[in-house]
Amino acid sequence: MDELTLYLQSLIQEACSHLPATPQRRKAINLLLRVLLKSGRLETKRDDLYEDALYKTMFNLTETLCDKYDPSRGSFLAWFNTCLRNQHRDELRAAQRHRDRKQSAWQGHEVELDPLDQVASPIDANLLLDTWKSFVQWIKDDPDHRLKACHIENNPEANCQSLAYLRLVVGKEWQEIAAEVGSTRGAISSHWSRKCQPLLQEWLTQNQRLFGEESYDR
Amino acid sequence: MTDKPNVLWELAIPFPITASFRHQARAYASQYFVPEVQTRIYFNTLAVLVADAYFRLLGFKTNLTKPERWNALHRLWSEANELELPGLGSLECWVIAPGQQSVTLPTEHWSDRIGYLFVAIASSETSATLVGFLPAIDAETAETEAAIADLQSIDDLIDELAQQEASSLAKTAQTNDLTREFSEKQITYLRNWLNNVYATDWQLSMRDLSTSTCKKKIQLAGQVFEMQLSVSQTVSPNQDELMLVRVVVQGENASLPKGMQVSVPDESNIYTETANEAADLISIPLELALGEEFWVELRLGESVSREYFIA
Repeated sequence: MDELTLYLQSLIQEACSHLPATPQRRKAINLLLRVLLKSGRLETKRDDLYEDALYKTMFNLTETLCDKYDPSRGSFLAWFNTCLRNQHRDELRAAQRHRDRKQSAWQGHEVELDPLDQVASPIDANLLLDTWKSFVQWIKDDPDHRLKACHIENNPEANCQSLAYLRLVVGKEWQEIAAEVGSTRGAISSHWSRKCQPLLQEWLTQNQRLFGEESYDR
Repeated sequence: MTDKPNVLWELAIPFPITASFRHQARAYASQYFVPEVQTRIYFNTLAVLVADAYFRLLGFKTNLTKPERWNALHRLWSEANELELPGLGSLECWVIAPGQQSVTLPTEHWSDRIGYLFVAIASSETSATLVGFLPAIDAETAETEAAIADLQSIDDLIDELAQQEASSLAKTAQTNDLTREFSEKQITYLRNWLNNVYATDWQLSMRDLSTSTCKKKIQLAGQVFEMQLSVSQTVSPNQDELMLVRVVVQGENASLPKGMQVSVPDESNIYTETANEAADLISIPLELALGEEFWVELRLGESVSREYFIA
C-alpha cells in the first residue's frame, strides 16, 4: 500500500468518526475530496460524459462512504476508480438509450423532451423582449434626465445613463467602463449598485406588464 | 513571509464541470439580450453550479432560486451569480480569469451575504477551481479592491460556514406550534410561483415581471369560493427580503354570504375579516419574511377550510 492510499484511509477514518452534516465531518470530506481530486490518480476518459460520471461517483461515494467502504477489501482509490468506470459506462448506455428513443419517437412523430429541458422554465424571453426594448430606449433617451443627473461626485461623465448603456446594452466589463468615463473600477461599480440599480429597478417596476387580467383595485 | 499564493492554490478545490452544467448555463444565459452579457452570465452560471454541487457534496443545503435569478424584473440587470445556503446566508460567486491579479468588489451591503467566492474556469470548460473566499465584512471595511493573493482559502470558507451554522442553530432551537401543525398539512410554496412552478390545484391567472397570481376553487358549506393570491418579492429599507401577498376571496358566481369570514395569522393573534351585507370580496394584504409559514382560513357557520402556505 502506498503513501497516498494510507493517507486516504486515515482521512476516511477521520470523516467517518463524525456525524454527518457536522462541521468536523465537512472539514474532513473537504480534505478528502481535495486530496482525491488533486492526486492525479483518478481514471480519466476523453469524452463529454466523463465529468458527469465523476460528479455522480463523488456524490454516491460521499453519501455511502461510511457505510459501504471496507478498507480490508482494497484501497479506496481502486474502489473509487471502479465505481467511476461503472458510472461512466452507465452514462454511455443511458445516452445511447436516449438517442435510440429519440430516434424512434421522431420516426413515430412524437417528440420526447430532453430531461434537461424539463427544468422549470423561466419566463419566455420573447415576452421580455418588448420590455427590454423599451428599457434600452429609456436608457438611451433618458427623457427625465434622471439617469444622467445621478453621477459620481466631480465626474458627470460617470453617470447612471452612461454606466447603464455601457454595462447593459453594450455589455462591457467594469475596467473598460471605468477607463471610458474616467473613474476607478471601485467607484463606478459601487455607484452602480447603490445609486443606479435602484433607478433601473424603479423604472422597470413602473413599466412592466405582460399578460393576464387587470389586477384588482388595491 | 510565507508563500501565501501557493498556500491558497494548495487549498483550492478542483471540480468537474459536467455537460449538464454547460447545457443549463447556456440555456439560462440565452435569455439575456446582449451577446457580451450572455457570455458573462454563462460563466457566472457555471461558477454557481459548481459551487452549488460542491456545497451539496459537503452536506450543505443550497438554494439556486434567489429572486435575482428568476424574477425577470431583476434579470434585466442582475449578474445572476448568487448561491444561497439556507439558514446561513448567500455567497456571491465571481469568475476570475487566468493571470488575474486582483478583484474589485461593490460596496453595497446585503444583510445576508456571507461573502464572495472566487472561481476559476478552465478554457476547456470541463473543470473549474474554487480558488478563494472573502468574507462580506472584510470586503466592506477594506478597500474595494483585493489582491487574489490576499484571499482567504476554501478551508477558511468551510470554517466560516461552520461558525454561521452554529450561531443559526442556536436561534432555531425551539420549534413552534405552527411548524408542528404544518408538518402534517399540504403546503403551497409561494416562492415556486415566482419561478413559474405551479402545483396542479392552483391555476395561474396573471403573471407579470414581478407578480404572480394564482387562484383556487374552494368548497365550503355547499358553496364554491375562489381564493386568489398575488405574490411578489421586495426588499425592505433595511435590506431584508420580504414577500408581499394579497389574499382575495370571492364567491364563484355570487357575492360573499353574510357572516363569511377570512382569517390569517397575525403575529401571535389571528386577524379576521367578515363579510357584511354588501361584500363582493374580502381582500387582505400580507407582508411576510421569506420562508415564513402562514395559512388562510375560510369560515362559514360551522364549516371551516384552511390553506397552508410558505412564503
